[in-house]
Amino acid sequence: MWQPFTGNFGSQKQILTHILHNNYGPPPDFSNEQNAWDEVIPYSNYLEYNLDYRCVSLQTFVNDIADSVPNKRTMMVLFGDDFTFQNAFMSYRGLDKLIDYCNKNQKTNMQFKYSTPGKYLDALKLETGVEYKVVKHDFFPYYQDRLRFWSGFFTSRPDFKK
Amino acid sequence: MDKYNFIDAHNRKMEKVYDHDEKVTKGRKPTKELNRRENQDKYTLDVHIVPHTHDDVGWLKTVEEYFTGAKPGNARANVALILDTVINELQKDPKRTFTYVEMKFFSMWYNEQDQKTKQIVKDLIKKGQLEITMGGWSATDEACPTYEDIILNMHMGHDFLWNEFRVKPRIGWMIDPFGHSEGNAALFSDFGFEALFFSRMNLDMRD
Repeated sequence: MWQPFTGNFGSQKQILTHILHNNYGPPPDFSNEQNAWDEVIPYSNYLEYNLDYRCVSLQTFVNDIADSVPNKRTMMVLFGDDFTFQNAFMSYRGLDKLIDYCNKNQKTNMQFKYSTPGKYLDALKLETGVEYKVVKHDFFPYYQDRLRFWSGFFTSRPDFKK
Repeated sequence: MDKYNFIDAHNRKMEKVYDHDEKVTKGRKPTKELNRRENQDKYTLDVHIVPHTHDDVGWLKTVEEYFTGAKPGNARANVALILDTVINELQKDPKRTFTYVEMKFFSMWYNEQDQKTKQIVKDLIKKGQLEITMGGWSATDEACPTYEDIILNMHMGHDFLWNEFRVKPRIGWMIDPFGHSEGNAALFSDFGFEALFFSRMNLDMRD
């Protein structure tokens, strides 16, 4: 729960804020190359078969981030990145297989389904008694690591940025 | 000199092949063990898989080049192709969903379609299979623009959405700006967004 400008507005302008995992990309094992989930190969008789591996890596990712979700029950996993789904036929075929297989081969209690941010938000609202951490500051400056600060746009050539 | 370059290129290529092979063999036998979570067996984790795409409205090439897929040497990106194929695939299975954000590209594509396709898109949005999130003309930066710019950007996108589909996006989707300002969050709250999703954040600030 983010409460901007608390000094002036208190909680009047508060907004539920969700910080995504792994930037805005898919789980780490799927982001090695663009659209790695396209490459789900479901034929177990062939050497290239990788559905089992893909499924376990998805479940591992969900498992790892599950504790950072406030209600520990509903979570959102993004599949998409810069200019993905240019071949939606492949992308959806891969995702279909992955979701089906993961739901049938449960190693833990996880239920996967297609969704949108709106549906996820609705699911969050159904949960009661969840306490959200309150944040009262901004998120500047942004840096990726100690040597890569994204702060130049505050200082360089401000006249050009009016 | 050329010879060495060639060998270098060859080695790089072989490395790639080798990587791929390793992934394939890794694929045969999953080696990872799942950590046990607390209360793991008591309830089911509901995992929402959200297919989406992030289409920069101008970055390595111009908006028009991105839309048409021209200059693949600069960036292999074709937004018209994304929307064409996605709309096609969504019709095949009512379970499938998609999330789209950038109204600049969406309106460019939508205005090119015939009445039949427009109706299909309207139906998909109505059914909730295609969700427009944020719906700004593009995703603004949060450090440089003034209030006016941010409002205008959002207004143009929402205007298009309301005229064509009578929908109003519910969620702020700032997945690529570098840093997030209080001013933007306050504006989003005033726009009537129910939630704000973002991703870029300092590692120190993450829990």
